[in-house]
Amino acid sequence: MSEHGEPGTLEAADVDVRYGARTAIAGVSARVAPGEVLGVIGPNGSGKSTLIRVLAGVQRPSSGMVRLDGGDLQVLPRRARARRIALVPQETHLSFPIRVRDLVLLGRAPHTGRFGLEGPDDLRAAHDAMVRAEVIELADRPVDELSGGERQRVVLARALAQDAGILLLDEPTSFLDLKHAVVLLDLVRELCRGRGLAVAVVLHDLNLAAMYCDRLLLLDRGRVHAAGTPDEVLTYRDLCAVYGTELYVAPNDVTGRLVVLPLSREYRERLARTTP
Amino acid sequence: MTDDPRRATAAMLVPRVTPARLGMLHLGCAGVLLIVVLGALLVGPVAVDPVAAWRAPADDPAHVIVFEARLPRIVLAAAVGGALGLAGAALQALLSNPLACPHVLGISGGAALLGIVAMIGATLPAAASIGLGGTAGLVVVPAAAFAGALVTALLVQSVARAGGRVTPHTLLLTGVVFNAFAAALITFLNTLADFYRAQGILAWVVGTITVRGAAWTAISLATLAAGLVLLAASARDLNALGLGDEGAASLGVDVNRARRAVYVAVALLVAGAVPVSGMIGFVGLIVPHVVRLVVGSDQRLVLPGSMWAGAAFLVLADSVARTVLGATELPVGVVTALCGGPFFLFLLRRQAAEALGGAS
Repeated sequence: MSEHGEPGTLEAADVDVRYGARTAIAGVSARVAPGEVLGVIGPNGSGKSTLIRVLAGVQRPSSGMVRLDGGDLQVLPRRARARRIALVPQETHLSFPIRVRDLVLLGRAPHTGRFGLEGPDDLRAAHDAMVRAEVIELADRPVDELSGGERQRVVLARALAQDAGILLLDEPTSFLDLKHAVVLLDLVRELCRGRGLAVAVVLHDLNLAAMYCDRLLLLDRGRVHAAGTPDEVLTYRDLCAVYGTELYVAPNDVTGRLVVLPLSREYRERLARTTP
Repeated sequence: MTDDPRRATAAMLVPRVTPARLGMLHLGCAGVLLIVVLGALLVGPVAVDPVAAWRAPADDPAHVIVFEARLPRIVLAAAVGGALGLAGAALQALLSNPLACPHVLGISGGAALLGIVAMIGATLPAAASIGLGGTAGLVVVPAAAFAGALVTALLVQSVARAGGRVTPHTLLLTGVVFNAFAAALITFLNTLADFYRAQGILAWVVGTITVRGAAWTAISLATLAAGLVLLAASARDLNALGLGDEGAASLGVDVNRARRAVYVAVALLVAGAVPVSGMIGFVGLIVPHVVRLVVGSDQRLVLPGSMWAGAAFLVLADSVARTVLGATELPVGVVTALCGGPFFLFLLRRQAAEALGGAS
């Protein structure tokens, strides 16, 4: 096994991102720590992806600062940054057909020299990442022939091959069915527990967020509405306010975690009649 | 297809691109090119016995035909073809656009326009009086072509960037419009120039391998070598850019710097090619596609492969151009366009079909 990227603490402090006149996020602070999964939740357009991109260092904040282990992320050389932080984007567009092993090997780009020739360490790291993400048997398949679940695992393997101690995922489960979603998140959770990775993950599904995350950050129109443990953040009052619809929030019998259930108009109206 | 994990594991641990293998690729391709060149030496309106030509004294007609007429031209065709193939592969990778090449994007047009201006300028009596006439054109013309290529490339880039996401076709339309503009200006200059120089200008527009002398050929070879080194050093970044700008940035690529390096390399390659060959189309378009069919889409292999294949292709095309009409010579640009036009339409159709087929 090649040397692993050191887990680290990534911190956004009072970050604003503006695109022209539009403000994507304003005054957002967030902290990703080793051995911990931070879930970023919120409605569409609340700035979740922007926050992840800022944390990954691919989006420069308009104001505020991102710190990696206390140092300014912006002054860290790009390749050094890519050896510390790996990003799994929402979608991976490929402009040319490429095989799984070559896509995963791209994760070694921050480790290779000017001419991009991989050494034994790089091949070993890519191999281990593929084993871990359970895509090793797909190694020679073209990526564009894979199913959504396989493809997302391959992209995760690419990020793992980067050997970074901080893993950022932007809605990794949005195109996956229930089984593939839990398989992927189980793996992420395991990496976090077992190897002490610092993880931040954007999730649409609040039930998955409640089950897999140690802490949650609830964004609303670019601002932090609530932050804390799932039990602290996933409250009926906060969720109804932020998502703008009536919800059912209660712990479930199996995990003891909160379950969030959206309600159809029929039940919303029934509820309005029964509760004064 | 390996579905056996153990075999996959073993395959995974074997590097596919190593310095030794890259060396083999270059050597093997050079060998193939050498065979093509030897074949081309035998082809021409006059039949010559190569062995006799080799043994003959320097003033023997056979020796003159093979070593003073054909060989310099073949070497130049190889240099130009290599530059165009390499530049095309780099642009297709950089712009994620399989229809890109220096000609289609108007970069060759920009180089030709400023190159011609420099060439006309260098032959003016006034230029000679300030020491820019004659051999000084050797420096001035490629330098002007380089400037023209770079400016056009940056123009293409600014259009590609404006308004965020651009469809591949917008980029190509920009190139088409720019080519029409450059062609109009070149024709205008052509009308102004006197008859002798006008002949030279026409050769630029159609695309003809024009042996101007050993020094010019040396410049083409030198820019080709520089372009190859620069692009080989950008191959890793170009591979990462296949994931999009943000994907590449998350892998530690300085996207803007990578882009600048590629444009400078392309401008160098085009500046070395255009002053001695004019605007030869479709080499940079076709060659990378054929190469990718063979080596896959890893730019570390596609770029050198496209250079060698482009060289071989243009030597072949120029041999056809020299001989197909007997003693009358066809501009090589006509040959490449006749091959490339239908190919371009085929690619365009396939791309449109893919776009309609839905993004899965």
